[in-house]
Amino acid sequence: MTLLEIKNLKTYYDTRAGVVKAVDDVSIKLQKGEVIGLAGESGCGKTTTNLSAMRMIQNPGKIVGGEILFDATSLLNGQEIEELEELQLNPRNILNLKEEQMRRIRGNQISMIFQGAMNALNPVHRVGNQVHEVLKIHEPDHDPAEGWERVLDIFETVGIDSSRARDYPHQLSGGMKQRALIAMALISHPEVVIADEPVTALDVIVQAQVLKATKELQKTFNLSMIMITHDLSVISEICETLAIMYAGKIVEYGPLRNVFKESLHPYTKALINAFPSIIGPKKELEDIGGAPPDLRNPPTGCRFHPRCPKVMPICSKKVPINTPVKDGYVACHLYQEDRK
Amino acid sequence: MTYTDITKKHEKKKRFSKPREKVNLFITKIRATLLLIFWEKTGLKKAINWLKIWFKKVLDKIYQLYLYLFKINSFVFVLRILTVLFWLAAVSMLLLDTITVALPIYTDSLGTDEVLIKALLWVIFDLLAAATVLYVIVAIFVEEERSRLPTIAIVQIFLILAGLLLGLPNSEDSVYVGFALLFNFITIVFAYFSFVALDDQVKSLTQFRKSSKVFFRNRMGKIGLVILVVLVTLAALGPSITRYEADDMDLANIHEGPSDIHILGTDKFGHDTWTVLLDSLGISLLVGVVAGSLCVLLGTTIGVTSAYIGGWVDTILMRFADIVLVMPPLPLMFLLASLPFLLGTIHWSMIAIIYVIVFWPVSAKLIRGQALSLKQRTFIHSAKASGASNRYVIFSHLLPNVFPLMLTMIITSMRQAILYEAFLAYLGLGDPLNNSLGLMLQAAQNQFALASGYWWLIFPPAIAIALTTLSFAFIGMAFDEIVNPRLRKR
Ligand SMILES: Nc1ncnc2c1ncn2[C@@H]1O[C@H](COP(=O)(O)OP(=O)(O)OP(=O)(O)O)[C@@H](O)[C@H]1O
Ligand code: SF4
Ligand SMILES: [Mg+2]
Repeated sequence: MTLLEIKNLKTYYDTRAGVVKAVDDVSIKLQKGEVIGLAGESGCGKTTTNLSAMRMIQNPGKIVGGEILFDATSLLNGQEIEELEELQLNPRNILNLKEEQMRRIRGNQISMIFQGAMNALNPVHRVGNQVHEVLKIHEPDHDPAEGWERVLDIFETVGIDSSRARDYPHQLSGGMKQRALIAMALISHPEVVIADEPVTALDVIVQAQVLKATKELQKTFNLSMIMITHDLSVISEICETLAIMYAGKIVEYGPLRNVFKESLHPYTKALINAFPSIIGPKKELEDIGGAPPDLRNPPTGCRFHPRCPKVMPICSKKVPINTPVKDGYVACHLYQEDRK
Repeated sequence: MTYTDITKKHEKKKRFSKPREKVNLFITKIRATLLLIFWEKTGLKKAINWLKIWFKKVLDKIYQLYLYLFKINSFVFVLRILTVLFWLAAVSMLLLDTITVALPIYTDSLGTDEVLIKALLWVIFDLLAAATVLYVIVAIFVEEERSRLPTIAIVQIFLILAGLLLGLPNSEDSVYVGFALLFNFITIVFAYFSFVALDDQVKSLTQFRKSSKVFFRNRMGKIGLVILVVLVTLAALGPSITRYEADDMDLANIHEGPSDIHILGTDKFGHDTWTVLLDSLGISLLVGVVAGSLCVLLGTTIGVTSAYIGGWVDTILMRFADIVLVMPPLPLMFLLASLPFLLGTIHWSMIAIIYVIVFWPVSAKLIRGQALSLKQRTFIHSAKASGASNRYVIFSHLLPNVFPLMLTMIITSMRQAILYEAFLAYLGLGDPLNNSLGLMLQAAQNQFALASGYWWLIFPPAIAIALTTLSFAFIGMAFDEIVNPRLRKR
């Protein structure tokens, strides 16, 4: 069952120096219980994609096209749905909702985990209260004592001793803070969790612990997740599906194994080669060469062509379309039938 | 403990650098001797320790009693009835005040400018009092509002304080409103104890205890609070505790130095300096508190709005702030202060307003900077991602983080306002109908006090100014620790 579908999303930042096409025609389908990894170089638009899904793009950014389909109609009352239908708007497309209606979804059905070592918790409130806050927002008339019990419960679930709930953020270690953030995202039992580089600033051992906890939680709650990272080892640990993004577009998409072992797109290959593998045989690390493109003025045709080792004449002229391959797709002229 | 023990203990504590070793050792020895003589030998240490323990025991007993009493239904019921009675008393006092005092003053003074301002101030004051009185009844009936009772109590205390500084005890026309405020305060306290659930009471009590512990662990805070309490008490009691009235003239003793008739001497007209000082203190404190806090409140509102909304709102507000900022403050204040003089005279509340007009951009800019950086912090995004509204984000995440800065700024600003009021008064732009510390200094200057050696005309107001500003600074430091958990030593 498809829970969340991002369809032909376009999000642009209208800056003084020009329009940054941070996300250009991106589609992602998230099934119930699926974990999708979204990887790519810094600045390729991963965060922007997911902020768009939460409708949290800030000025000067704007969603200029596409749909985000998510069934949140249970949070709307009949009248609101009727209003939308009268305007011939699809109530399942959350881009059509009002900001106030959107707020009911955020943190309740779709929640987001931010990178939490530094600033993701408010220094002046106790961590427990910050988690409790989410309940207070979405269930305004719940019993506070009972809510607090739930907070303590979720703390234990994510692996923090519940006695730490009364601590301030600066009293917790980086790993605990990250776990507290996970608790915050999970307390109201969301259906979709988006994690934006949840373990990037942690050391390797804590990273592994947090990832393991995340994986277990995902299993027990049967969560659907989108996991953003530029660390491929993180992805291989937790995801089933992998999407590789380059310069605002998804260039390869498919089951983790296929994309990893039999990668097709030259960029994916380069990205994997640029990563050391601890277990496998020692290999020469290759950097990709060249710099990521300027998204205000992206290269014509395939955006990877100035850096691609297998570049062909057609690459700079025509935008490659998504070619279906085993359970996924790849956007590269090498695999397109009509290549010349 | 013997003398050598104490010396040893202090020696152990400090490792001296070689060249200063002897000096330090000497100081330590003297300190030890003094401690021995005045602290241990006199039994003062024992006495204070004993007092502390005893105090704690009594507090504990009171707490036990409190827990016991408030579990008894009939006790709470009686308290509820008392609450209502006190509320009725407060309301009738307010009505009495409005009918017999405020309205006549208002109608009588319609013609004259200066009294009109005073009357207006009274009306505002009365309205504020009435608002709190009415709010209490809301709080009693609406359950969610009950948790705000402590806040109203604090507001009420401020109102009482303002009333005291405005001269409540000294003027007969204000007796009713004074009683109204007092009764309302009692109502709030009773309402809190009889209507709020015992659990919540205990919770906020422990919270209060913790905060006060942090405050009192800070020596600066303690000293500042003591100075401020003494000053406010003196200002509130005012000339009623001296033998003279502020405008009494003892023409037989002009320019007398301190003596047993005039503790702090007299000036050219035979005014008693001590009396005038007490009379001045109130206005100076009042200008400081009102101007200082209004200035920062306005600045914070503008700064946070500007940072949070951004875009053209931000541009317009900040350009406006820049325009005010680039003007030199003193000439601007002169200019603004001279406007009311064209109309007749200047009232202290106008000085406060002028201060706010000239200095709001300073706090607005600072707060905006802080708010802008906070706005980009992940926890703000995190809160939004959990479905928080803008209002919620501002009140629950932005403001608490701006609060420490705001508090320090309020206190700095109060200090500054007291100084500026004194300065303006010193230059002749003061409220001539009310004494103030600055006016005292100006009078001293006019009488060539410095040249003639009338030090008793200069030192008292100068020291009073120094002490008030100092106490504000100290309290500011201690408060910083309460609102900013990271500063706490543990
Ligand atoms: N507020 C903004 N104003 C202008 N441009 C922006 C803004 N936010 C992001 N961008 C641009 O959008 C592009 C995509 O940014 P985004 O943050 O989505 O990248 P990312 O893939 O998440 O990178 P990282 O891995 O470093 O987090 C970048 O080129 C960035 O410069
Ligand atoms: S389309 Fe051409 S340039 Fe782009 S990745 Fe494929 S081969 Fe390289
Ligand atoms: Mg990012």
